[in-house]
Amino acid sequence: MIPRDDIVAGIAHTPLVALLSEIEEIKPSPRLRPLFDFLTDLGLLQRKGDKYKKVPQPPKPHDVSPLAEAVSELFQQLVFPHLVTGKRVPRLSTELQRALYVYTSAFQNMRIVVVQELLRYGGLTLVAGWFPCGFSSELMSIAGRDVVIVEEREDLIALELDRLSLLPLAPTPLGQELAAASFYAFENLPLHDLKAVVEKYGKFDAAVACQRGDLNILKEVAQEVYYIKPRDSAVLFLNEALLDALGLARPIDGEKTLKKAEREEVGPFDVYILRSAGSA
Amino acid sequence: MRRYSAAVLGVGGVGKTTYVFRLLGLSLKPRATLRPGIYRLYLRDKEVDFIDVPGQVATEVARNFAKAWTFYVDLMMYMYDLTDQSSLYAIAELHSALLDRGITPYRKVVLIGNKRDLAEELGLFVEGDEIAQAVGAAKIYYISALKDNIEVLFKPLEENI
Repeated sequence: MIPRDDIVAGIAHTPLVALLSEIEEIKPSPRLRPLFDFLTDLGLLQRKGDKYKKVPQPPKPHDVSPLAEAVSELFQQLVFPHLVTGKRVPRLSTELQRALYVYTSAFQNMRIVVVQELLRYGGLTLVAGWFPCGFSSELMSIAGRDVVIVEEREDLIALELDRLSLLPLAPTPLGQELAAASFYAFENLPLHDLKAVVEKYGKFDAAVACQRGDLNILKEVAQEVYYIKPRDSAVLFLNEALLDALGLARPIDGEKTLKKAEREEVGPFDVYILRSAGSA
Repeated sequence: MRRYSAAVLGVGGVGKTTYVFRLLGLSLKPRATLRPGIYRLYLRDKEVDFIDVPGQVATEVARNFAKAWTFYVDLMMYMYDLTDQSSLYAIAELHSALLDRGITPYRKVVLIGNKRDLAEELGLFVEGDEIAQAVGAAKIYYISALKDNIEVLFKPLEENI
């Protein structure tokens, strides 16, 4: 359900990993340990006590997929500089914008299965954070939903906006499931302050968030919340590092709140469902 | 990377979404498509936005969609059910609805007859030559979106994009 091989291949083909594969053993400072643990998780290094060793058989170079190329670009330009120096990227180049857009395709099959298997038909739906999972048109086509996508950076959703422009747009929420056009809207707002979006659209029937948003706030603005979290620690780490490098708010998903939610497993993802009283 | 768009159009139950899901590597029995949707797939160095159109529950919606069509695609794939003649004739109707707008909204068009496995089992195989000619389709593909291997299913895209 997630093309992990492409993610590994993308990272394996970066100059950093090429450099590390030439070093027998390395002892990083505690600040850099998460980066080395991540590379170990992907099988690109092996851990020995507080040191990291190169693996005996590193992945051989081969033709890489567009997703692997995108991951490579993101790791080199965003993740690695951020983890080493704390650098954030205020402006995205066209290449980075495209790489981020391609990265969301890694989650497409998960999106389809979540929407098809878990979401009921119809209703106004908030996507709290388009990146990294890219929830969008499948909510309309599979579950017949009217969709409002909130993202904290405008430049991040420019390509998705362009893509959705291929679809006929209804001027207002349709309120019916079957239709020849869809209602979708984009809002550029911080995810910790959704008052303006509720004032504009009213309370949502559902909110979908994938490793984004504040669950306590989402519970207030939607009848149902579908909160998705990868179980794969490497994917979780990569997403978090990308969010940080882009200056996007990390999710606030306290253990206490998650414990109260229904949990469904969808491939290597956990979907936590929180329902307001009377919405089940 | 070059970007392309393709659309699959046909009436209810011919297997449009099943076909798209298979291309994405999903063996999932789809729900009825309720509204137009876009799926993204990568063919080597090509990025293809694949537009899936509702039609399952109501032919009327597909017809309305054809009338509301506002964009240009690189490849139009008309799909019908090889065991159902009316689904083939409906292609001509959808095609007319598209052209009523006075423009050709695609660069290339192909016809796809789906459910080949079922047609062979029933011994009922609706040939699409006449309609293919009428809509100007460059080629007809007879497939089983459920059972064919992925290489076969990718042919209409690979050979025409």
